[in-house]
Amino acid sequence: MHAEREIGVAGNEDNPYAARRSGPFPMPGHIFSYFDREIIGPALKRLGITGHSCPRATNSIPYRGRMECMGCRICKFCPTGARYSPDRVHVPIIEQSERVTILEKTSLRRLETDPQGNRIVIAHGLEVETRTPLVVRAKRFVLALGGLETPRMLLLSGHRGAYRDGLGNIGGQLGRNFSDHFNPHVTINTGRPVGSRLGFETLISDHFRARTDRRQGPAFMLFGAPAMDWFPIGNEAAIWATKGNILSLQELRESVPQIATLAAMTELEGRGSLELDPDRLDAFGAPVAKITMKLTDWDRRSLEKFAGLLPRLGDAMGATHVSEVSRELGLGYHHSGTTAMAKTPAQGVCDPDLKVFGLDNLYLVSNSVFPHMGANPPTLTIAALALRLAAHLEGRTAS
Amino acid sequence: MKESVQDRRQFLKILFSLSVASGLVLDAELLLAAVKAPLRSPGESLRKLLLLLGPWSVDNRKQAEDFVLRFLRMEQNAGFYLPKAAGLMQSLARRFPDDRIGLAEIDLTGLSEQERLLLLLKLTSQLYSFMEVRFTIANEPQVGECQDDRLRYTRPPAGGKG
Repeated sequence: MHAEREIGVAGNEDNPYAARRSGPFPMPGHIFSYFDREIIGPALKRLGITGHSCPRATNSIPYRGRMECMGCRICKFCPTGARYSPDRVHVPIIEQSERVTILEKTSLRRLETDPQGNRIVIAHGLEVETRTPLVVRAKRFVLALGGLETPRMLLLSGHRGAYRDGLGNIGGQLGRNFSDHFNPHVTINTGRPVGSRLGFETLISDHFRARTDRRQGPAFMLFGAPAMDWFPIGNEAAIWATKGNILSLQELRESVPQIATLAAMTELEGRGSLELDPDRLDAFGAPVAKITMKLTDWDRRSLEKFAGLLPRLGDAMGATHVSEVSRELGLGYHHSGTTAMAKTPAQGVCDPDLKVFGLDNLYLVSNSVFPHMGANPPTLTIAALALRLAAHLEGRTAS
Repeated sequence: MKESVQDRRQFLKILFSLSVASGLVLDAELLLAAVKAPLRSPGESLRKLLLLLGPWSVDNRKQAEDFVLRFLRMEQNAGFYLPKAAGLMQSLARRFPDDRIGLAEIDLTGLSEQERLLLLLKLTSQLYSFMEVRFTIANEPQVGECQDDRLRYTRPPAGGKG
């Protein structure tokens, strides 16, 4: 709840699959788009699947000095501030705080422990433009470098003894169980105009998150939108418009307003790994992170289930064409794992309070601390973990 | 060194003469077409292709030209397509007048497999995956334009829209 208030989340309590909330959303949910209300919502309903509002960190009404969404559909670079962005919301607050000093244009290079290896004493960095070394000394250190750079920093800071293979790697868990979301998708020609694209989904379904026996296969979330920009539809549209040797561009153009994309956000078992790449270095000469993804049979079952759903969903929509599930599975930019929260070093890299095992004063805030990631976006959970850690460090109970 | 049309015609005349002298039979019609087909740089060829393929018309030609210009400036497009565009364009050049845009259809007969792949699965699919192109087809406000008022935008619309 606190994270939702800080970020500003708009949503409706209409999700029959969700656990009971402890309070209302900070803002009412966005009204359903034409596509969600008239095309995909009814089709899902015919299959016994309920679509419900999609909570979003985009203002539906003016909220904390930021205006509501204008629907200009340039969401990735929201020009109005309606979509939450740290640089618009929390960085200005930090900049005004007398307790905070921001060191701009610097790169953290490694963390140094005391001779006994009990605590971090120095954070070594570089001024990016001049390459001038700088050091930061503090009582406590919090790493919040994101899902890839947080584990990478722990690996780069490894030096001797118990930390030979990276800070917090007492039990050999650092870099293990890397995961992400797969986003298999299909292109559908619905046979009728699907309406304009709002810029984001207003309707999703947690049916296959809540109703999946996860002993049999992964859970996944369903969503769709008119010809979503991050799932290119031109390939299928061009193929469908080709008959024999004739590519009918006119037919292609007429079909585009009828085309939609349906996608799933699926959980994975998390058998990937992250390590330092000896063959590739960053601009400062340090090895970059190397990711190895491994799909298991369990992972693939969600794709089978999603693919099996499509003919029925296409029929329910009255679709004229339904493509095959895209072979490009679309990693969802939700990397997780590799510095997992756990009760013991044999199981993870940090404890339930996000303190790195073996060190008294190093904490992690990142989706890299997830021991497992379900079939939902991780950002709100990361924010909640940050607020919980802040409360813990201040000696109070998180709200 | 850029070959001029005059140079090419002179070369082909010589080639034709030599072919007659040596007894080789060359297709005069093909030669004539080769003389008449306009010379194009790869960039001009790709530009012409995009204007032929896209949902363009006389009404939105300015917008088309603006889009194509930005497309060609993208390094990933220039680097991938330009080496291939001239060859494909030559295959299509004889079929359409220079000022033609927004074709209704393309007959793929006579194109090589590689040219079909490039035209169909690469260039056309990429073109029609651009949000800007899709919004043009649907006559929707472009990205960055307010849905309720096209006079409000984050980027000045091309072609005098709004």
